Amino acid sequence: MNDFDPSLDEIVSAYVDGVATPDERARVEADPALVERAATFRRVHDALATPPQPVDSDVRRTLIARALAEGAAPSATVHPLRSRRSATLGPIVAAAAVIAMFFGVGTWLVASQDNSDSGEASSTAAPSVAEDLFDAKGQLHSAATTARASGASDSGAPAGVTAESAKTTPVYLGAFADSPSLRQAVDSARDLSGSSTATTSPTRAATASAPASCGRTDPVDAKIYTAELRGRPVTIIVTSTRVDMYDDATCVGPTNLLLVQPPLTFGDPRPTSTTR
Amino acid sequence: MTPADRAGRVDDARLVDAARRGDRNALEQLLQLHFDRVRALCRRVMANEADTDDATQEALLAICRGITRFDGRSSFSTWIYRVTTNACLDELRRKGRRPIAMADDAMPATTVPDRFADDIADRLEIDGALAQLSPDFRAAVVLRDLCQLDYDEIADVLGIPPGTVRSRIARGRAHLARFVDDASIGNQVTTHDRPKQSE
Repeated sequence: MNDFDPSLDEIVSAYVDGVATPDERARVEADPALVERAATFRRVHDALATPPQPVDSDVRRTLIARALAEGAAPSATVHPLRSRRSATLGPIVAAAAVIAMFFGVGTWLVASQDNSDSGEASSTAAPSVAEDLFDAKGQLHSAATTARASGASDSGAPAGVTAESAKTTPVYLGAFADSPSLRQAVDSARDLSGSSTATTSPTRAATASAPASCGRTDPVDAKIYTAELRGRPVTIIVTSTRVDMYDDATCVGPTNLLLVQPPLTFGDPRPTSTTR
Repeated sequence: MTPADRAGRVDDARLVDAARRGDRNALEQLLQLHFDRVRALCRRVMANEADTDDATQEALLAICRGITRFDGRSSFSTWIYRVTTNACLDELRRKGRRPIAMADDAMPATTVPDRFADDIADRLEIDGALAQLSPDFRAAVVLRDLCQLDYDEIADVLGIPPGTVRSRIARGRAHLARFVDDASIGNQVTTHDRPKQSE
C-alpha cells in the first residue's frame, strides 16, 4: 500500500480534509484502494492531531517570564529572527568604524604635529585621545591599553584591529565541578561585566586562545566566556536573551543554560544536539 | 465556530488590544492562553524534544515583540501560528538542521534510519517520521492535522498558494503513511524491505 501515484494521493488527501471536489470524492469512494489509502491518511491525521506531552510547569513559567522580560524591554538588544544572520556583519562594520576613527585621529595628530614644534607633545597626546575614544565604548578601552602595553602602534589601523579582537577575547571563568556552579559564575560575570572585568583571570586570560567557534556565528552583542566543566573546555555565549554553552572539544551545543534546571548534565551530549 | 471558540476570540481581541497598548498583564495572559498551542506546534515542527524549548522561547519572544504589529487581518491564533512557524523554521536554519529544500514537485526525503526498523514495531515514531520530512512539508502537515487550520489559513501562514498547500500536505502524508503502514505490520518490516515510493 505504499506505491501510490502522487496525484491520487493529493485527491485522497483532499478527500480526507473534506475539500475534494464532487468528482474527486466520487472517484475515491468508487475505488477500494483509494478508500483504504484514505483510511491510512486518517491514521496519520490522528497521530499528528494528538497533542504532545505538556511541558513541565517550571519550564513553562521560565519561558513565558523570559519572553516577557526580553520582549517588553525597549532597550534589549535582540536581533530580529529573520535577520539574525545579518548580525555577522556587525563586527566587521564595528572594526571598520574604529579604524576610520583612528585614521581621522591620526590625520588630526599629524596636522597637530605639523603645527607644533614639539613632537613629544603629540606622541603623548595620541594615547590620551585613544583612551577617550575607548572610554566611551566600554570594553574597547582595555583593549587599547593592552595594545599600547604590548608595543602595538598607536596609529589607527593596528589599534582598530586590536579593538575588534578585544571584543571577542573570552573571559576565563575558571574550572567547575558542576554546571550549577558554572551557571552561577556566568551570572556573576554578567552582573559585573557592565562595570568591571573582575572575573577575568589575568594569567589564564593572557594565554587563553579564542574559543572554538565550531562554525558558530556569534551575535554581535555576545559576551564570550570560557571555562572548564568537569575538565572539559567549554565556551559560553551570552546575549541579551540566551546563555548558550558549547563543548569546545566536541562542538556539542548549544545548551541554553537559562532553560536547564539544575543539575545540568552537560558533558553527556544530547542525542539530538548539533555537532558542528 | 463553537461558542467556546467565539468566546476565545473575544478574549483574544480584548487582550490583544490591551497588549498592543502596552498592558503587560494582558500580554502575559495571551502567552498563557496560547502557550500550549505554540509549544505543540514547535514540538512537532522541530520534531525533537531537545530543540523545542529553544524554538518556543524564540516564538514567545517574537510574539511579545511583534504584538504591536498585529493588524487583525487574520485571527490572532493564525498570526500566532505564523510567528511560531517562522520561529521554528529560523531555529532549524540556525541549528543547521534544515534538510535541502525541495521543489514542490519533488518527493519528500525517503531515507529510513535503521532505528525506525527497531522501534516501529512497538509504536508509531511520529516525531522520527516527521524529522525525515523537509520542514516546509512538515509545517504544512502539522498546521493542518495538529492545528486544524484550513488550506487558506495554512497558505496565509506559510505565504504560499493554497494549491501548493494541498500538494505539500498530500506528499507529507504520503511519506508519513509509510510509517503508519509499517507500524501496522509490526517488526517484519526492515529498512531493506521498505518499498520505494513511486514518483
